[in-house]
Amino acid sequence: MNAEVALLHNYLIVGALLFGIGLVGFLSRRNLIVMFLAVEMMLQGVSLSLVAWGRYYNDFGGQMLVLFIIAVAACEAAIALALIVMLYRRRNSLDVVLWHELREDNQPPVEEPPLSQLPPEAKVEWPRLVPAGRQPEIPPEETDYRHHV
Amino acid sequence: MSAPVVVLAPEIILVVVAATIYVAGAFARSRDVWVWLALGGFLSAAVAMVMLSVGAVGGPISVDGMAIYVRWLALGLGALLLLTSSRPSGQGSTPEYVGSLLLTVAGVMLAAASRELVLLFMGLELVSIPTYILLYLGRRDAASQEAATKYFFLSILASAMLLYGFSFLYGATGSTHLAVIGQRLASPEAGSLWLARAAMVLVLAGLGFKIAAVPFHFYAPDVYQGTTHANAALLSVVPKLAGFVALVRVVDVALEGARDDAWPIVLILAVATMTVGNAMALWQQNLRRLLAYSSIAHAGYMLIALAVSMATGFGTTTAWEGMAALWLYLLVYAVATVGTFAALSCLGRGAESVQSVEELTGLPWTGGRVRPVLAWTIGLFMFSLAGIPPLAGFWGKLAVFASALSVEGPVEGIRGWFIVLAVVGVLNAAVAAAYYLRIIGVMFFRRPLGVPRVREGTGGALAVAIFSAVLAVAIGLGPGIWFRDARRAAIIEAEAPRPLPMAAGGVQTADAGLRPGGEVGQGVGFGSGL
Repeated sequence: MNAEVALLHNYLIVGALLFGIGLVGFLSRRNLIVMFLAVEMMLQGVSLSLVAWGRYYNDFGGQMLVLFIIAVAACEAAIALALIVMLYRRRNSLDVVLWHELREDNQPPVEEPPLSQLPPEAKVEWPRLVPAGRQPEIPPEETDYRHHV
Repeated sequence: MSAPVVVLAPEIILVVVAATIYVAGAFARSRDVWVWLALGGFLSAAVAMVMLSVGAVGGPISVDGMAIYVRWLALGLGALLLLTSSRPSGQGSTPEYVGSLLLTVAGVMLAAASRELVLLFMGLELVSIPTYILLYLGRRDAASQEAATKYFFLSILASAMLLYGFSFLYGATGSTHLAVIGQRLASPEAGSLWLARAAMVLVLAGLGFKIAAVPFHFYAPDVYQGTTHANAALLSVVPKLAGFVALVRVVDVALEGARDDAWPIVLILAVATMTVGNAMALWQQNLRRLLAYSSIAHAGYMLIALAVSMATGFGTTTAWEGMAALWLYLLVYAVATVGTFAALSCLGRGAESVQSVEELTGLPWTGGRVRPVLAWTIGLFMFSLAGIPPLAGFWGKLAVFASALSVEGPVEGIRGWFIVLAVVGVLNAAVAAAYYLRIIGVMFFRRPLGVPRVREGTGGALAVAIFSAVLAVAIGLGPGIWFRDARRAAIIEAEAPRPLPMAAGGVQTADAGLRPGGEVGQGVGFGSGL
């Protein structure tokens, strides 16, 4: 294995990792914006592999495809933000679980109790940054919001 | 004027008309002007297709039989969809709706003509991105917004997977030109094919979303239910057309070297898609949901034809028959489906269009001039979709099952597999008749419960329904010329353009002087360096 191939391998592995992390993120997160960013991460993984292959073959085709991918991703970002703003105005939340109007007739919708009604052992403490400075006033309805979705 | 510009003149005309409508739509909101202008755009694109028919141009664009057939089909369906949707419910947004429809058709035509990964990707995205806007413009309630979002998120996930497949294809061969990719994968020094196999799986996943094949079909019922009849008609034909043409170009022709692995996957997809689609459609009450499962099942029948052409190898007679069956089936399916949705979009209750099967009860006996006509056309389309003999759908199913039964491949036991596939297909067609005939039974053999209103401004949709019904009967009675056209569509250009140096990419040979060194890819077996 010469240096060229080793370099190619490194780029391909990083590209595959980006793609995989993006895929897992898309499937496991519930926040609309985070889901969109996860797909963007998958596209970055694809772009990185394409550029690496193009460098390996000394060919411009891969880089050309990457330029078009970036342009299309920009279009998609514009539409995604418009859609997300529209959805947020209707439900006042980015949680994707709140959208369950369309489903099979005999399937119950996914309903979750608000955080304050959960039994104490079901509450999970998520890791957070150490607070600094003055504690801001938090309105009580904000504490029901699921930060981790 | 160079050759590619001439070849792409129809697409360019459509895009220019769409851009004009987008810009000028801000100043004049009258609806009819834009519909007529868009129809004029379709007409001039058709004239350009006739006038500027050129031979092979080489490079990234192809004008083979398949490209010509799919481009004509896309133009015709575009005009029908435009008339169906000539009354979008968001009254203020007609210019945006019409412009996006034109761009979608241009995208299908571009995808049909492209033999190159970059152009193919651009064509597919030109189908997808205006579709998101069309879905959003359909209605303005929560269900419609949910449908648009669902389609958008799953569609970008599918395009990411498709692109990762493209990157493996490029990595296996070092070229973005599909003919060059096919040649290099088939050549003896291609080395191991695992990159090509990974590419094939990812491309099947990405395009499986577009054609609504089974593991990727979950969006279809929800999105169809949430949107309008006109949008559902668009979703059930336009992405399928683009998806199948891309599948043929990439998986069938370019990945020919990996076809021993490809056809079993497509065969399993076909069986799963038919069975799940038909089984789920049996207990649907919502009309659009039922037709969504029906469109999934029809994608399964088309996958049979694709599996036939893959298994027997590009260039053989059976493969050619399979491909012809695919294009004939797509035509008869599109005619019946667009006609059904057009007829349904004429009927309403209050401000809303009809939703459930029960609302059609006794439709032919409710009086009026239009309602009986709509009922008879819907009945005709149901018979055609079920494949009852004197109608178009019968010939589509006949061609597909006959091609599956004529497979005699090089691989041992392949014939048995395809006989099983044909039997499963026929059984599925029998199951499917149950829910199509249920709609007919509800319409014709029950007393009217209420009288659905014929909505205003749906003259275009009525015309589309009647035209599609006439076409379904015409194809059924005289299938000869349609078979001939479908056989012509099975002619696919697969040779690489120009003499091909194995060292450098085929497309970029012209600017080889720009390359830094002469060591390009020397002695590296494609994909074998790993």
